[in-house]
Amino acid sequence: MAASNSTEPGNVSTLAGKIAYNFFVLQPLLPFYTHLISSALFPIYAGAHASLSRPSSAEKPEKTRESKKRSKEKTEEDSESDDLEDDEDAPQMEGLSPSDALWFPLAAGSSLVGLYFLIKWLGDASVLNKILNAYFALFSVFAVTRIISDALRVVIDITFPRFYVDAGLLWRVRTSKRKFKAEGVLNDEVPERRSPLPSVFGRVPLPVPFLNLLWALREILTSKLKIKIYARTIGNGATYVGLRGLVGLIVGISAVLYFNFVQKPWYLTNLMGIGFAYEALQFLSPSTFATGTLVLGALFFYDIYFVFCT
Amino acid sequence: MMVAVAQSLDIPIKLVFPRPHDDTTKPRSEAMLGLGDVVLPGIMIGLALRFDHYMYYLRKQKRSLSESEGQDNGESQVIKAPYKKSASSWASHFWSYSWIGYLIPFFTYATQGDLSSFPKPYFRASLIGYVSGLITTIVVMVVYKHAQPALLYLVPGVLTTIWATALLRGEIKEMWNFQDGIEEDALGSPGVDGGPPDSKIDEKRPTGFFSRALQKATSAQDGAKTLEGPDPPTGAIAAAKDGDDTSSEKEGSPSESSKRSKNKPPGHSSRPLREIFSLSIEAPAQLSRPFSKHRRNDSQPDRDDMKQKDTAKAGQRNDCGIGDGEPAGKRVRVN
Repeated sequence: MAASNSTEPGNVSTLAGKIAYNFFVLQPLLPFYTHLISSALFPIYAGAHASLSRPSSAEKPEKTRESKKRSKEKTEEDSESDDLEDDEDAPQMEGLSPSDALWFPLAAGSSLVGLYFLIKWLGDASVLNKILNAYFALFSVFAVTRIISDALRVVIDITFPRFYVDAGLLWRVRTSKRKFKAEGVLNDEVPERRSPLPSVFGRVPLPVPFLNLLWALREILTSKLKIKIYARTIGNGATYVGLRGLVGLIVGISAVLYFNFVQKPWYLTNLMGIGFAYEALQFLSPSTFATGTLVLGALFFYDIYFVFCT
Repeated sequence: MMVAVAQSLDIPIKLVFPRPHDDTTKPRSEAMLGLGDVVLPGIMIGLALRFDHYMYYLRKQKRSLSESEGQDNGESQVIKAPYKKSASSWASHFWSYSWIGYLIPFFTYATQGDLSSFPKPYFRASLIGYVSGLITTIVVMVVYKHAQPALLYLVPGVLTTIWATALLRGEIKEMWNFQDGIEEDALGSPGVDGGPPDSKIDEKRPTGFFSRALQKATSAQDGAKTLEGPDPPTGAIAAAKDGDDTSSEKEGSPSESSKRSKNKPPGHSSRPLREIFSLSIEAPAQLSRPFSKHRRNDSQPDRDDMKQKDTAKAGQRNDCGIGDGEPAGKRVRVN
């Protein structure tokens, strides 16, 4: 066969070679890029889900006096009220309006320009840093508290859920009796379980003192104190404080103190940044898709201008 | 300009990622991603998720023709599906309906329907758009070795995926009309399917973040007794909605102060005591009186999740391990 006898690699192999080489260069950086993408996705995913509440197309739960009385008359056979946690977490959202779509880039742009010239004029940005850090410190505490306590909530809820499905039955917790009761059983004999662990783990027979320890642990981890404060000229407030919130608060305060007084490692910056993003996603919302599109479009041009044209 | 500012200010307005490198003598170079690049597309993605949630319940709505007497045009009433609180039972859902539940090879059946899962096409599409935008940013940054404005790639990514999904599913109209749920109490009576709210809102208070912020600032100067503060942290102090005490909204408007003062009857000067300050801490019922033998009728307005008492606690002692937890001296009388 009179094939081309060239010893040069063909186009396809050159391309394949380039791809292979680039992948070889890229490979040690893959964990780095994965870390980047997942750190950006995590607050978005978690914050978006945390911001879910009753949509306007679903039924409003009755909160009239009659329904409260009715719920008090429920026998113990009925499910326990698990509304406690839901009530406190109903997010109050700030909606952006189309007028904000115009404000946002202007405000952001002017503050950026102002900061830039301020830094240039000051020369050394350390004083400015201190002031801004002090301003951010308070919000950082709350942001980190919130994200840590919510993360703990997920962990605790996974270990001690309120109901689960096993062996074709739905098991629901009866906290006051420290057992799980099955629902949907047709005959009179309703099976029960002593263990607070979910699913198949609940079948494992454990010694009674250990079971008590688990139940006590569950109670400690999930119970909350309600603190009400009232001052005549200031107003009214109530909040639920549980173990998760305390742990979150401790972590938040220590993180902020370390950040401001010792050094600023990247993971603390990231923790606070993710906490801020998580909080912001729960209370900021463009009320409509049109407004959101406007805001994003305006900031699109703003970003291009400020990175490339200055 | 933006890069210069972001690098010289050391506040948590960005996420930093140290690059891996072998030469430990040189300081590590870091990649930077501004928080705005996370939050701003993020609010759009959050809106997409809430829209999915809304559409799910919208599809469950039923219309019933109610025949009111003497009216020929049967006014149709919309029956809304009862809202299943999904977010808090995520973990329980995990054990019940997720793939873990299926891995464990026993049959599961849906008792109350799927409690917290709803189809999320817009959410997934917008996430895909966001990730592809991010990957594009990284690729361009590596190829051109210059800092890139991430929003330049993220915004088209997120927006085109969301609008394309709407176009392909034919739901542009619903998407255009969708109004994110601001508290319904403030809205008065919103449109049936979440359409544009009544004009009542415009009178009550101006919508919009900045306009409200400006209004807050001006009303604070009026010296009104309002509940305001520097952007109150949402998690810490929330307004209590007690039946007896005055309720105050978090944002506080001038109408609140009049509401509050109205609760103290205006001409009633013979009231001897006025509460100035109180701080109360309430614990769940079981911790405070664990050995009560009566069922405590809940006189408190707050609902602790351990309010249900054991009436027949003594009767339970035989088959329950709780007895071991009680100190030896306490005995509960058997009824």
